[in-house]
Amino acid sequence: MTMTTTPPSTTQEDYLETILRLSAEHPAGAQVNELATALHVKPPSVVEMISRLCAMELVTHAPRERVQLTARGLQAAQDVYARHTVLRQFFTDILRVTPAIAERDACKVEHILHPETMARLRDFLEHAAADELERDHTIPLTLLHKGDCGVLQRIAGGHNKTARLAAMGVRIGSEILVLHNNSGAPVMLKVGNARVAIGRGLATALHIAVPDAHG
Amino acid sequence: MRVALVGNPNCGKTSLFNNLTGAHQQVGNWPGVTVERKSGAFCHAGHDYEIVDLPGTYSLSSYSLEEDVVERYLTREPPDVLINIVDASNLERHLFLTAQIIELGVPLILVLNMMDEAGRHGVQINTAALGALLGVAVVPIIARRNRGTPALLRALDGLARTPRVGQVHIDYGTPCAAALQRISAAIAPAAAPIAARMRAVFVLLGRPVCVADAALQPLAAAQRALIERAMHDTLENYCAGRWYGFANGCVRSCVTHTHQARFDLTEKLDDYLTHPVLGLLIFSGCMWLVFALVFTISAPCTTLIEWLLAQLGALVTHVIPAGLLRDMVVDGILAGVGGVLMFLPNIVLLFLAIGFLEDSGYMARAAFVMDGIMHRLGLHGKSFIPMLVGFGCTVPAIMATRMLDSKRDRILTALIVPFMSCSARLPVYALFIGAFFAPRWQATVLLSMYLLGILIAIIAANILGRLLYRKDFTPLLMELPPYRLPTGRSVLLLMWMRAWMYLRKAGTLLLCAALVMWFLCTFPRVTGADGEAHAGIAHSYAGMFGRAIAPALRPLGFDWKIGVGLATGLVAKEAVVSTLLIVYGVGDGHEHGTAVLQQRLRADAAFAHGPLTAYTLMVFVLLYVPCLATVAVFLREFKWGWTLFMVGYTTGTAWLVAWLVRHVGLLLGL
Repeated sequence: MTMTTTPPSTTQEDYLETILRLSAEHPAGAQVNELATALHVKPPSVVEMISRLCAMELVTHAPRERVQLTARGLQAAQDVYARHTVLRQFFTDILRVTPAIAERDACKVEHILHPETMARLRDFLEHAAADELERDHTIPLTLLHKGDCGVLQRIAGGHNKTARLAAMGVRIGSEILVLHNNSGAPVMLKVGNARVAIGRGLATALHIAVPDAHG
Repeated sequence: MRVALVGNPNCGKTSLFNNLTGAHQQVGNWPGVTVERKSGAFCHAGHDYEIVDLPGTYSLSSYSLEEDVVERYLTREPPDVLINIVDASNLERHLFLTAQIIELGVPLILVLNMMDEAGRHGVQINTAALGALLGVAVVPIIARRNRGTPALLRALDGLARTPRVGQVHIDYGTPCAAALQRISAAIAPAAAPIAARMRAVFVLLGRPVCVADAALQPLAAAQRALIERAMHDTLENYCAGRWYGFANGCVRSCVTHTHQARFDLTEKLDDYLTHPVLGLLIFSGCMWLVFALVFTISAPCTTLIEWLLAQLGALVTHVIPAGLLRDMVVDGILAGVGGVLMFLPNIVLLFLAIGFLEDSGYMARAAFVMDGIMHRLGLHGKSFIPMLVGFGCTVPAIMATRMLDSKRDRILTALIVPFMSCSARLPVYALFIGAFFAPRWQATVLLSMYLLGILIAIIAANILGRLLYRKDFTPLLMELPPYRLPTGRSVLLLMWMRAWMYLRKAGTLLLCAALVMWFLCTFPRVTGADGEAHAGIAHSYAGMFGRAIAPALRPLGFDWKIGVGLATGLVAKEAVVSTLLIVYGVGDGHEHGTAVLQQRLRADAAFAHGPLTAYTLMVFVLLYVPCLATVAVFLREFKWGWTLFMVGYTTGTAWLVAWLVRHVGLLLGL
């Protein structure tokens, strides 16, 4: 029982991530040889590690077959991958490191950071992106006045909002006209030929480029 | 032949559905959820069609219950023909959904609705070019005026004779197309009834349509990682961009704009109706009107129904000799039927009003105006309407929660609606206020009951909202449809459907429950020395129940007689008064029954702390389970789990608040 609930070690996480990456090439999973090449280790070490991952119910592997991720293994691999993405973005966008180095360092650092550090890093990137946009002369929707029009440039924060808004016709590049914007009430927009009301919390996340904003 | 209607909300789906089916429709729920399922049937050119009106949805994804229902239906049990209805005056946005369903591999008809409005906005659509581009039949209609229905029927007939699936593919771009190809290759063709390529899209997006496809998840996750790395965006956003590209391409090649509409009535009206101050005033006025209309018109109807049932009762009394059978027919069946019909005028009128508000487009504005206030309570702008209706009667109020869009808002609102003091509680207040409070305090005490109900509702909304569905809270995001004059046909159909549903579903349940309650109040029968069987209620099962729960009520200062009263109050709040008349030995038919009862109550030792005990009792009556009809309707809307929770938590709240009131009162030396 304790075996299965221990979180995977650094090396194990590397294995899971690599199996996920290799699965993209082949639906049935990764081969031991491919794993050995990708991770720069000898096949017998791979076999040993795979049997340990099998015991943890993170992968399934029959002799001579490909290694496949279990549902839990997939979850763990996706977690690692998500951390990797955030770190890489931090290295390239904020520290201006070259992509190759960012990739290399992200692979190392992704295993050791505390979840809270990761969460702070995510927040930081979100705010940094918002700050950068303010320098690009965009204004949060809530600061526009009735009758103002502009183009939606960016939606800060959670991506599921982006897809939700897109389905209603509000997407990056949409021309919008503010119909009503009174404090305490949702913002009403005209997009295309439709009127859409957006709660104030969500409206602050919409960054609008207004023509001649500084004219 | 199975046909399904799919489209965005407010695109005229329901009008078209009514045009096709007439009154031959059925309203029910989609299995397992409280989303309404409308289906109907019609016959054309020798083919029988069974048509389903799918809930309005902006896209296929699982952000809302409606989208989930539509996606499940289209991918698990796709119809033989799919009719996609779009608003011609806002074509690009509506084709976004079309882009997601065109590859399903189901014969499709694209219906361009509101061609008249499009014309007014200067939008000219080349329907032939659009049809050629999409590879499907394109039919222009005006659903509200029932124009174009014959052409649609012809297109339907064509597909019924020779099913034809369009061969259009959405261009997903290099990395995504490669991924889709890889996944399609691995897909087992016979495992699901839709096209393999569309299934590949669902697998890639992490929403496999069948068990076989679910096995491809690792492959999909890996591919998603590759695409997101290459595109620097989430897969969902990337795909949305592609679907828009498709919609935009269609519009560019088939639509020309001739002129801009100069005057927009909707925008002019919105200046007033959504104004922060004026809008609230207009909304209050509207609500007052609805409330006044519903309850003043329904009052004489209810009286008429009561009178008719009384006549029927008298007739039965003549025909059937005195005895158990007569008691059962008069006190059981007729009383039960009366209990069901009593709410019917309310429900009919309320849904007439709601239908009018919805169809005219005002409901969305009401939600817009009220959102600021209701948001602070953790509720949706529209929640206000059921809450207000709750002051009249809880039963239609719970049915009215149907107009809320998310399940969270629906349940949360239905759970606090019972705290709104309904008109049936008034007789109980009147009895006790009359008996224990000086005339100059009476109005204040009565008002305090209503205010206490609102206060408890606000507290409950806050606590329940946090406890039950914290992460489910969605920010307000809704479309405001243009103002339109409602068509009588659609408003009346909605009203008729709701009334019928109430009679059929809640009504039968309520009738059975009323019979059971009659049984519990009558048996075992005790025949006194004078042969009077009526006094038996104290010794009946209901009476026993009242005595049994008496210990639980003792901390509140209630004795067993109140316990019996509260037990029968579960049927209907008015019953509390009539039961107390009986247990205090006043008798039902006494001319000054209430006055005598008030006297006896004052004399009763149980009311030693007269006003305080009376107030505690009123608080309890205000807050505990409203009535059997409410429970029946709640059960129909939200299933057992929530119903039991509602019964439990309202009773628990009633006990707790009543206890607090009593003990604070005792501390203050009242």
